[in-house]
Amino acid sequence: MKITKIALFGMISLLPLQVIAAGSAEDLARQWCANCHTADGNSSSPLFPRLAGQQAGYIVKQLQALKNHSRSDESAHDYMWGIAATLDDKTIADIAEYFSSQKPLPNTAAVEPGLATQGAQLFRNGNEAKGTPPCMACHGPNGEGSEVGPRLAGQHAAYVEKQLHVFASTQRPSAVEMQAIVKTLDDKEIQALAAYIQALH
Amino acid sequence: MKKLYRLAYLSVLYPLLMLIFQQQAFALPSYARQTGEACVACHVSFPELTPYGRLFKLSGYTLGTTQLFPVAAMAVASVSKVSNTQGNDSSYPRNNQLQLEGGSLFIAGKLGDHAGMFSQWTYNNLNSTTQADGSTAFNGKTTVDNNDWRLSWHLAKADLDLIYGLTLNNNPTVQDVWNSTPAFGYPYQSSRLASVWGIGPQATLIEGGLAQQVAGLSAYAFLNKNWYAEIGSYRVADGPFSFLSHGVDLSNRLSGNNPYLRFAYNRDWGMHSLAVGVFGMDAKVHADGTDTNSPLDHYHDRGIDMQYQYLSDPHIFTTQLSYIHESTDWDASHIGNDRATANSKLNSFRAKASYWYQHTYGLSIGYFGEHGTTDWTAWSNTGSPDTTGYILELNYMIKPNWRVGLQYTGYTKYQGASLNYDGNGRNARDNSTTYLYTWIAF
Repeated sequence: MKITKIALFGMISLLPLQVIAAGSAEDLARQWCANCHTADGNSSSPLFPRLAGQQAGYIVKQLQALKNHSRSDESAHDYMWGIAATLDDKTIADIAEYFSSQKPLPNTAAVEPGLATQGAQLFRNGNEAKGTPPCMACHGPNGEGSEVGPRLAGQHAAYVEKQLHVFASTQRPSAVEMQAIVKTLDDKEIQALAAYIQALH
Repeated sequence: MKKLYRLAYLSVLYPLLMLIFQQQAFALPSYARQTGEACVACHVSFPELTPYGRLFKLSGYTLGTTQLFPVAAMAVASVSKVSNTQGNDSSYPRNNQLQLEGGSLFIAGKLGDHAGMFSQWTYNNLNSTTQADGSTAFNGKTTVDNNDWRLSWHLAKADLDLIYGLTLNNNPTVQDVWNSTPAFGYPYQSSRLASVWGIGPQATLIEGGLAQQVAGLSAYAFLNKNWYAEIGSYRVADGPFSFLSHGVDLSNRLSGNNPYLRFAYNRDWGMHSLAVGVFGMDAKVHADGTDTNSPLDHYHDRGIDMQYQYLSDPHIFTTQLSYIHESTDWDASHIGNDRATANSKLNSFRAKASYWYQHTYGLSIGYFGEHGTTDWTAWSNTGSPDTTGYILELNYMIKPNWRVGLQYTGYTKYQGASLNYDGNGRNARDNSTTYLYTWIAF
């Protein structure tokens, strides 16, 4: 069977092509990161955070933390440690630039309206009695993020909720402020905030 | 002397393997070492793939970093118990005894930016041969298992995402990324002893009949992570392709080139992943697998399949359905010999649903049903191949790469009848099998 033989020969002769360097950071983002975060960073599955429009500095900081294993929550370990390990500083900066420049789309997943209203209250005003500062102080009035806090608007509620619980542990040691703040929140408030944040855009 | 060799071999191999595997182990561990990701990134439970696992496979196993030793292994130990031996224990050797089933060595990983492989080699400790006196003898045997060698490319632009490539493999559907097609379909683990005892559902040719008997090359494309198309051709795995059937007796020897087609629509949204597809193959098979001049039987297998996965943390629910219609044109030499009619049909339906909690506790329920043309020559007791049954399985993951399973396969109809299907008073439910197994990959 000639065709099969030719194809097999072709396959084998192509193997040395591996020395050709991998493409740009944008190619990497579209070919690998995109598998979970989607190419435009507006991931559909709440298992994976949305990256579109995220503060570039924050993405860099997280990829570095994933690379040096200082961020050690379960998903970080299961999905990201290995990937981050393959990225050099330049690639990390370029990937961060790529995702931060993607347009964030509204997250259309359903949230409980009552929950979101309660979350809005906390997000904007905090809760002085319990020592909860307003989220918008660092994350911006529309959750767009700032120099000191990542973008939250449109992030999957399930992801926000999970990470707020992670902050209560020691698995994200660089998030010093959040470790203190999360102690002032109960589970219901965490759910409310997550719902509000997901609906924000 | 042979034993000495084996001992010497193991004493060198074992420490070497320990050296290679001293990193934390996952499943398929060599891929995990390559990507640095955990099993759960690609698998719901081995071998069922997540959306990311599907893209990893379609990308030709090329994501990550090339490993010096892209090697992994797995081993299985189990106890199988048939429901009723009818006092004839010698027909059910090793029944209800702890068995080391054997294991597999995988050479699996990225070879280059556009080439990757999955090559499984299996040591079957329960390879059986029937002796002259009718008893069963067991001996270990190493044979090739599933192989899938790929070349792939990925065009990823703002308005176009196209993964395309070639696969060279030795089992139709082994290259497929949805677990609703036969090669990686449910049950993911089944008793080797049950097949030694001759117990099993009926199967169409594409449901394992050509596994490790053929070499196939196909071209595939996955457009915008929605549309999948594949066209390929299979031939007998001999000559330069004999490594793809190494150690396996060619019982279904293909003649010439045999086309394979696959189309599927896939959609991932939120926590959901859905795929519906069709697949088909036409196969010309020699009536005598050892004789290349023997006449040909023509198989036409057409399948339709569906998979749905709900993937959240901590709850995962997945289900697969497939329906395969097979029409076979038998060569005239069969008629009156082992077939009554020149054409027969066999329809195979499979369904399975699983629930997993925290990737640790699993429950699966499966159904299988095969219905075929009435044929009193092929099925002299009942005139029918019809077999139906169900599978119940409980799983516990001791570690992400170490599973234990308790599986019960219950037959409600066997080769045409629920009661007395063999004319000697054996009932379908007598074949029901309880299977307790432990599976470890490293």
